[in-house]
Amino acid sequence: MTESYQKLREEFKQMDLANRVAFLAEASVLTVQSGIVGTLNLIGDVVEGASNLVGSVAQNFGIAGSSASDAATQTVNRVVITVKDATKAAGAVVKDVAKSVDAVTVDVAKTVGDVATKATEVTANVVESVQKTVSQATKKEEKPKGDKAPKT
Amino acid sequence: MALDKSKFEQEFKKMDLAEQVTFLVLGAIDTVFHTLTNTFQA
Repeated sequence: MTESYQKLREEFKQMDLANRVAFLAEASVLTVQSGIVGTLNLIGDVVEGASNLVGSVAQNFGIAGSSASDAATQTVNRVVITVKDATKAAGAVVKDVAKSVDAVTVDVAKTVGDVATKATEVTANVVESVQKTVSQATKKEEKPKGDKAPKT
Repeated sequence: MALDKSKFEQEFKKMDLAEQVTFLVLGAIDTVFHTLTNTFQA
């Protein structure tokens, strides 16, 4: 495991419940985001690889390149260039989408973390007030036992 | 909070996907045990 992992684990163990829940909520959003961005980048790389492959195949078969002279090979050459351009553009689009996902989810993660913190704090406050009420009610019930009956 | 949010985000993003998932799972288990321990102690 990396240094970041160890550091975060240590920090996490020292936190109270509200912060733990907030961290987990934020972390889950970031993990999903990492998965999506990773997949999109992979697709972008595959598409770019396919584009390069088209160029290489065309050149190896001798149907593209500067030596091409007659009309048929020139047409094939143009098609190859068009396919390469299209796939490169597609790869770039996919990678841009990945960047957008990255940018959007940062804010989402922060919001989720804040909401989780608030929710946990509210729950903690409710639990605390219930405990106080129960404790006060118990004290009130215990009081009459200690009191002596007035002498008549 | 000892580690502020932007720093947490930076540190978290440094980890790869496998580590992030491990952190989440272990963190969730830790939190459940932490809550149970506190409840029984109370």
